[in-house]
Amino acid sequence: MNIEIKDLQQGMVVASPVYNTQGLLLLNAGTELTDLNIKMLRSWGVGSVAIYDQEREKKGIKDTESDADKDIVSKLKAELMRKFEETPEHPAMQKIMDAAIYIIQKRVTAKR
Amino acid sequence: MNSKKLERIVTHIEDLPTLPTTVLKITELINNPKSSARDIANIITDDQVLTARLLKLVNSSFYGFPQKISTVTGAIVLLGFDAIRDLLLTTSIFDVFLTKNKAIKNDLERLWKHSLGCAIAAKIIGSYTKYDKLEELFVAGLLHDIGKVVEALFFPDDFSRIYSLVNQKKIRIFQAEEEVFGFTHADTGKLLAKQWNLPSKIASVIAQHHAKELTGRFIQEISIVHISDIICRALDLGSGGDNMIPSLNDHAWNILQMDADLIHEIMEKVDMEFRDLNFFA
Repeated sequence: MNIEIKDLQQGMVVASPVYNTQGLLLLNAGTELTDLNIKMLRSWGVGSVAIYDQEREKKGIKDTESDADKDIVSKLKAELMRKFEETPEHPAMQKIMDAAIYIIQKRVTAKR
Repeated sequence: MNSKKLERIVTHIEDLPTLPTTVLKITELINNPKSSARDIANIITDDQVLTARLLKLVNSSFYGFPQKISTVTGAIVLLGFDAIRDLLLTTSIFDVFLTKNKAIKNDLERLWKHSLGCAIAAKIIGSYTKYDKLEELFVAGLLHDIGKVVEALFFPDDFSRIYSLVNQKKIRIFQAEEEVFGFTHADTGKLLAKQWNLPSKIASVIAQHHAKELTGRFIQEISIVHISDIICRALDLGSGGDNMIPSLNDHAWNILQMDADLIHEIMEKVDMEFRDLNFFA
């Protein structure tokens, strides 16, 4: 689950590695957050961090797309297809559209 | 063409914000292998805001240096040229997009994000096509829509009207500009490029980024920014004013000689870097 920088708290455990703009590793997955490294993330302008969700794990909840997410994704997809509608067919444009759909979908899932 | 308005821009061109000369000097110095940390430090220390931003970064807890770093040269040596480069270029150009006019503030903010997205995309596409001056592509991407900022600053009311026209009629922004002004941001951008004395490469990208026809010496750069524009609109990074995607110019695509299968990887990188760099908004 992605947590915004302002909501991060000491003791939370980082779920996936955090990098800065230059691709330098700031925090590794599994790091337990301290006040100091939260400050450090802020100074690097990191927007949000993937946090390991222990409650979820305990309850055995699996990561499945909720209906609400599916709804958002299909709306975003439709909007994107509309934007591409008037562009003439081109193999590269097809790739751009496919990648955009994939990335936008990923954003929605990551927000959860 | 509504020449009166364009004339007004020309006669009052000195009222436009000046390009932080720092931007070009830093680009130039970093591209010069003979530059030293001191050369770059001299430029940065001339600018108080940049100096403050850099020292804040290097003294952040991430580095955990036991002693406070109080000189810019020290900061550059510790951070490295590459690490400070994007940060300085981006913060300098960002200032040009700032306005106190509430009516256009949001539009300019979204335009800033679009420009930042294009800068990142241009740099990443450049790295995949073995382009050797990636920083110039980054700056070209940041500035390609700067003509819209000129319009917003000179004619804020018309600028707002263009945005509402785009929404009402579902037309492209340059069509609304034609309707309201009789010229487009490519024209106003060209004027600004002249005023700022921008290198002809960047001026050409500003004037031709819609890639209607590709001519001149800088078709490679124009093609890269044209495709960056498409990618950012597809990814919804900020907004260039209308919510539409330009058609890909086939000639531009062929010039890059890029494997279409790389697009996915490129777009993932753009999306990630954008989130990392977009900390001003």
